[in-house]
Amino acid sequence: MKLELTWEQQALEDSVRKILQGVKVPIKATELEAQPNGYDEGLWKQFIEAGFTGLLENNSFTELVVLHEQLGYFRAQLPLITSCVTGLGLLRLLKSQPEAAAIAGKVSAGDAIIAPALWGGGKDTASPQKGVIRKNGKITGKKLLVPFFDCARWLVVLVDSDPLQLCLVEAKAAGIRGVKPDNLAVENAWTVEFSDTPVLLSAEISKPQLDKALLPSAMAITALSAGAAKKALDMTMEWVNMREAFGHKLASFQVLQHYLTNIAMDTAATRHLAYYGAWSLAHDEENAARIVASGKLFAGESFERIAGISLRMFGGHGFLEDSGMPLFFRRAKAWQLSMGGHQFWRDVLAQASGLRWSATDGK
Amino acid sequence: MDFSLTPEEREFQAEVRAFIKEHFRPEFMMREGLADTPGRREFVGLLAKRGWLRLGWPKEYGGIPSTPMMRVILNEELAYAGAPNLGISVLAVGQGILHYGTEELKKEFLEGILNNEILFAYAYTEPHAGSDLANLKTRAHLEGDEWVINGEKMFISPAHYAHYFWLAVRTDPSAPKHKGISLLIAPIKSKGVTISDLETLGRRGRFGDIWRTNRVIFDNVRIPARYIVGKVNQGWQVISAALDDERLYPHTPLRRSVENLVKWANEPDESGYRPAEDPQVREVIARLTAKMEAAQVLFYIQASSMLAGKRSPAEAAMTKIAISELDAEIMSEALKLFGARGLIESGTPETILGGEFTRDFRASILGPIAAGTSEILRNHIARHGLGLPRTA
Repeated sequence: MKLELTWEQQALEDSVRKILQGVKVPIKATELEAQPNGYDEGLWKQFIEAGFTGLLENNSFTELVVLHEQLGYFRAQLPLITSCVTGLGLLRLLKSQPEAAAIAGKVSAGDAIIAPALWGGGKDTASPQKGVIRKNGKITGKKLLVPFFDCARWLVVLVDSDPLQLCLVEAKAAGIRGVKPDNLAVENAWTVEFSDTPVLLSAEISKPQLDKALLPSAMAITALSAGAAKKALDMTMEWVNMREAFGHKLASFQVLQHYLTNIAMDTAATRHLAYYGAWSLAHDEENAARIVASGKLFAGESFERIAGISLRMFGGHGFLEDSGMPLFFRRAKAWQLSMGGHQFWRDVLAQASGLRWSATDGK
Repeated sequence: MDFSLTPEEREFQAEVRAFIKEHFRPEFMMREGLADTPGRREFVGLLAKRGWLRLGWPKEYGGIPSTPMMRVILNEELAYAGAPNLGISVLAVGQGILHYGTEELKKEFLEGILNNEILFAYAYTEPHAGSDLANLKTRAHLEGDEWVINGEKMFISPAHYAHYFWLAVRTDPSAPKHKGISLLIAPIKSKGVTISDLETLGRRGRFGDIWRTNRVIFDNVRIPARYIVGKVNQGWQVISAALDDERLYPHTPLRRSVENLVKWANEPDESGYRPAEDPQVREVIARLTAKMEAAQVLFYIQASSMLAGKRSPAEAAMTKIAISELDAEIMSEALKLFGARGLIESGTPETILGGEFTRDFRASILGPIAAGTSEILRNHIARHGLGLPRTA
């Protein structure tokens, strides 16, 4: 075992940090929400020029973790997971069709954005396919929280059928309408309605294929959470070493020291699960679903704990946008529920761990 | 032991429920925010008209006879409905004036408070004095027949619509921290008061002032010398009593939240799926229900002690911790059950239960911080409840 990054990966980390240090990322969630398109276009261009948008195409999983850990740390918001991880991951399921390969090339090069439209409004959160059906070759229905819909050129839509279908549509195609609701996630997310929308490409897929295609996205969210958790820890450390109460630095109170230790333990475990997930996707396919799903679930719980406790250690100041804590608090919940919430990934983990609903299940 | 209400109390409870059924409208929802919405004003005005702001107050100050438990019942029923409560002016400040104020102050303020015409804003916290409140530095000194106030206060949420500050100031800098503090009443429109808006986690741009809180600067603010509550340098006693009074009326609708979760779980979605049939969902809701009953019973113990005239900081602290931490847990767990759809707050029909849980999730993190953090309150329990020694 050798758990350090290679020198190439360290160089990548340095270059991402350098880029991110050079841009001004707002500390307030409300300022991030107000960005046109929901992301910094200048930063996105730099990522494209650096070739960061094509990492999944090369199966560079560890590099993706490096990248997302830094994005989380620096609080930046880009359509990277949306388009270059989830979008590309789903396109792979359509890739027997030559048009899909051409689109994947454009997305990898950063020339266009593809957004996943997976989650329907059903109460069974382990079954995302609800909401959209296909009839006479066209799709009709509604998908929720479609990220960067307004910037996307294509949407990849999960359709409720048996077997499941994945359909690629043009984002500006006839019969598509988007509404942007207020949401807790600090993200440009839309409710998208389809009405007899023509389909460019489609493929029948199984649930295990869908789960597998989403593993890199779950891994990337784990990495984002690890980076953001480290930033929350650093900011809280700075605060407790500066702020005084009852004549002492906050850092000297044992109860707060214990909180900080718990945050440090949670942060370290989240980070290592992200890297373990990346390694398993590249080298241990048999266990990848178990490890990546564990990471997504652990990160969802740990970052929520970290964000909540950090905010509380700031006291009333933590409730103010100026402290930067509200952003972590909202993102923690959003990332916990994004790209499949608890029920979805628990099911994936249960299956990967050998649990079966019935004797015929999993065939 | 008897956990039941008396026949009179049951009758009153029924009367309150009927009143809420008749008058309550969704736009009155209190958990929508801290602002003085027209809905809040209208509803509390109706309560005032009904005379329920006067329950249990002495007859000579316009009070209506009632058992103290009736006020607890009224507060509980309002919280359950999601309605605004009576507010700190009636529940805490008015009591402070009643117990510690001069006859002149009682005449000047009590009737206005009971008519919902005079609203107060606590002005305790400062940029560097939150949990360590006794470290406050806002100064006041007497010049002739006026107090002159200088300093800065934080998190004064109703400052932009209330009429007076219930203001903690240092009047003797040479005395030990707790002993040099006085409690003043300062008109918010006084010359030298500057109020500025602070953006919070709970703030939602589209809705303007909702969830607003404020920073307040006092720059040579002058108020009449008679606007002191209690004796000079004995303000800590008045502050503590007001906080104790406030804790008797928690306004966190735990039961409503759990019942709403049950309602959500029982209703099938378009495909016929009912979350109530899922063992994971059942486990979560059952666990939250047990904790809710435990928090409720802790509240009854505290209320029973306080209503019998016993002040128990440890019991009050336990109740506040149990209620505020459980509220945050319920909101977090509910969103996990709802999945990604739970992130939508408003703007499409897909919001769950009108987005109430999503909005309250933002607010719930404030519960374990405001009016005494869970950490400080655990210190109280350790020292006053368990007799453990003070630590650093």
